[in-house]
Amino acid sequence: MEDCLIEVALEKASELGATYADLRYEENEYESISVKNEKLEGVKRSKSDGFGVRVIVDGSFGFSSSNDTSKEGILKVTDEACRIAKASAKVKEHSVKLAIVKPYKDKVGHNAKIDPFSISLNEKLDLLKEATNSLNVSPEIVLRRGNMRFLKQKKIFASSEGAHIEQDRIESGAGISATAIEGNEVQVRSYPNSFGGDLSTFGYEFIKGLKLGENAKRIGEEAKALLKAKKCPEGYRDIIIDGNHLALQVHESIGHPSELDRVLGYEAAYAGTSFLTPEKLNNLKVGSDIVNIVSDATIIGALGGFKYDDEGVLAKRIYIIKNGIFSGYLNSRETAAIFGFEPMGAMRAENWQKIPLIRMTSINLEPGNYELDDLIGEIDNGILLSTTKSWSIDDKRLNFQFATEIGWEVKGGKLGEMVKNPSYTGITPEFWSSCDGICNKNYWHVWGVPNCGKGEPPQIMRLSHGTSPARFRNVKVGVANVG
Amino acid sequence: MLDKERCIQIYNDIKEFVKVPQFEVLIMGEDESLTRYANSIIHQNVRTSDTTVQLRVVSGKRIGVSSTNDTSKEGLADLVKASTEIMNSSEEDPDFSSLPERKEIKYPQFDYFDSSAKFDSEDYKADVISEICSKSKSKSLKAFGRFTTSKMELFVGNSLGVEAYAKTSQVNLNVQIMGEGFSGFAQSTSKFISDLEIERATNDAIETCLMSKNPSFIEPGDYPVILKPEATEDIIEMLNYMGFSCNAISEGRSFLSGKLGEKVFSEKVSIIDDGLDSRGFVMPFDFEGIPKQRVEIIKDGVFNDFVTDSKWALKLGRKNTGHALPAPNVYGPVPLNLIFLEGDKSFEDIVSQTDEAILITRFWYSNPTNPKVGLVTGLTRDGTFFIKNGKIEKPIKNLRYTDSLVNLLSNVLEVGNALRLYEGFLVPAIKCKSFKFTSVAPSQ
Repeated sequence: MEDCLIEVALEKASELGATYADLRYEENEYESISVKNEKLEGVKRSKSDGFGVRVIVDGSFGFSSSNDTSKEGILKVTDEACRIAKASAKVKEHSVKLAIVKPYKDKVGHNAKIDPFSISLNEKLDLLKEATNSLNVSPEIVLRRGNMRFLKQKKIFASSEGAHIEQDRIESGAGISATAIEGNEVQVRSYPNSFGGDLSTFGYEFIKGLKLGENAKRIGEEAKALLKAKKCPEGYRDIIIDGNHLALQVHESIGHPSELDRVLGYEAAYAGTSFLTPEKLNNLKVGSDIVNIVSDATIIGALGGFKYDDEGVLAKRIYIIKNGIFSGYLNSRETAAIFGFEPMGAMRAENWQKIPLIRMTSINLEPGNYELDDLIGEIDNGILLSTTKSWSIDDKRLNFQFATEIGWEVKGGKLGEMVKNPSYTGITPEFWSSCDGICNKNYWHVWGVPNCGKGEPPQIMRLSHGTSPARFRNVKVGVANVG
Repeated sequence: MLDKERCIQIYNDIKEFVKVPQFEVLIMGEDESLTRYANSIIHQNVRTSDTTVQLRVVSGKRIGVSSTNDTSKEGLADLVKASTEIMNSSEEDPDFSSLPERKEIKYPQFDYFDSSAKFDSEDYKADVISEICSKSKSKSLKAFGRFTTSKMELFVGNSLGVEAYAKTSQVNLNVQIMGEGFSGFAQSTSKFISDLEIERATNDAIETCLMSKNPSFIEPGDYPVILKPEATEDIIEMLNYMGFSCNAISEGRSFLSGKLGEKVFSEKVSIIDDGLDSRGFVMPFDFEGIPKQRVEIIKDGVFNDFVTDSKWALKLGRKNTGHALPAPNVYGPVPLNLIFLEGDKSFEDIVSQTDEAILITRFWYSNPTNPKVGLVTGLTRDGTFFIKNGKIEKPIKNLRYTDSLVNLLSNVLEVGNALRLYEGFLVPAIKCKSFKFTSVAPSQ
């Protein structure tokens, strides 16, 4: 989009009474490939360009978006945004104020060494077919799936305050899974994680580094073994959660409740509220002393990383939990102004069609100092759980129940038999307070999460969590065996 | 939103560039306005408009699919190039035979599009929300929710003569009313804004909220349950996600796999998919342009039939029921217009004839833990009550359930005689003999 057209929108908004306006233009190119049982199941490429205009008129927000990027289209959308804002102002108590930020002018390149869109479809298919073929260790592995997904994005953000930021971004991700079926028993194993694998803002070099083929045979064998594995025991156990599932634990029980719009009730009717109410800031002990969780969008390659958010705020690293104490929120310019906080850059929109919301960036549990063997060695009777299978948490983010694809008993400080259908349940602060060991930085990995849902209309956001395996004492396990 | 003539023009523009034996153009347009309110103010108010053109090209058994929202001639030429490149790099799909042909197709009459000024008015939505907020304030409560209006158009045209076009509208009002530690919820969904039950939804939500004040603790365990329609919808949505798709059934992942003709639920349960039922969101054809058929999936508790598209109909030797999703479709054909057929008792009679049960307004964050047996966990929300001797005795704290939904629908005792449209499905209240609650949520 040409600068002169951006100016058309911002000037028109001003004419219509906007005290603030921004325009976000995006060009998005997607590719997704799925392979099933060593055959191409589907490949799709899509392009979607468009823009959204956000304004404040009469003290309220309005937003409109369109794929019509002609001058007439831009004027129409800007007019709609202002009209919508005026309608919003009919049901308000206070006028929106935005926390002051520096209006940056910048151009930001992507992190990819190899543009995934420069790699032929055949090369991608060969990699996935080879990996899914290696999953085929026995007749019980009836479904062998592999997927890749890529995004190439150009984004321009400009505001009436003078910001003008151009950012390029590439996202790459892949994963494989084996489904073993025998009678009524269905078991799935995924690598490197479930629900799409692992993703980053690196290029095709990230896909090569996942080593899908090298890990496929083990995953197939584990899926088969789960068919005959014993059930996860019921009762209270010490547990170790592998990094790929601990990412989800961080996500659901710490990431979401730290979103300040949720705290203010903006998501109450849909996604719920939060137990982290403002009076608890810097007071509530949410975890043990070794629990430190940060929001860090500055990590290069993290799926939740970026230089500027969709309000033009420079990315930052802040503590959400510091030494177990609740210490900070994910915020927007609007919500930061309400409490006098500094904007920390967490406003993100799924695409040009959507208004930005407070979203997780890269929410990371900082590494501890344990070796995994030592973490296991200090457990008499426990379970090690790996790879997310299902999740559910209440609307204040307190009562959770999660299940993983696989688990192993820990007996007398040693890893024991495999268990199937492992699950655990708990209450967020009690659970994190029971954390007494976190593996060191050698085990730490930033997991890309492609499927975080929030908002209405629903927005699916890509974000990430840095984690290493951690230990939690006396947790209720096996509850999902009922039924 | 375009219109039929512009869609045909796009089809013809694409036809100029295509050099393959078969091709299919799918055009999906949407205009959506959404007003969200929280703490009795409007905090988010948005509108979006977009059109996606998708092209599927076919040569023999090779297929290529890509899409764009650039409808200029240059954009469409690029679309043809991208789809053709993918097709040329793809291997043959042994299950694919041909795109559908026109001779098979008869479309029903169709007129479910709201073109009223009120439908597009942000001021009208703001006025409705203002009234909801005023009513809740008068009871010292706060209002939260959303008011959505959306218009959609769908065009399918292919080189074998299929040409289908429909435009539809949908309206949804969600009302959540909250006090300090208690809440209520109700909603109304319709095709036309004049059919929206604004007052009913507002009053239901306020009444449920007021009844929820000071919830009691009850021990987790097995209890009879009565589900309001919104809660039944969550159950049906979850069962659909886990097991009604043709892929899941055929691949052995579904609780219905290998059970065609067998009794799987209570004989009081009949679930159909009918995209032409005028009480639901009517759509006369699927994403391949095939007319939607009424499919009796569960008939008197028996797994009776399942949905297909052109590929799966050919593969399994069954009729094409018109349930294709846009290609490439890794999920397979799925029902989008489910109806849980009504029973013969009013909701009031079901409650008054119940000795003891938990009444559930809606569920929250349900997620499967073992799809093969229908095992799911989730929580109750926005009004959970204990019924004793035919009356609501007291509100209770939200509960986590962990149970098989197959078991739940196997012990249905009563089905309500009124259906409510929610999230595209038509659902009644139901009463079931037993449901397992495994913990109490400490949120209230």
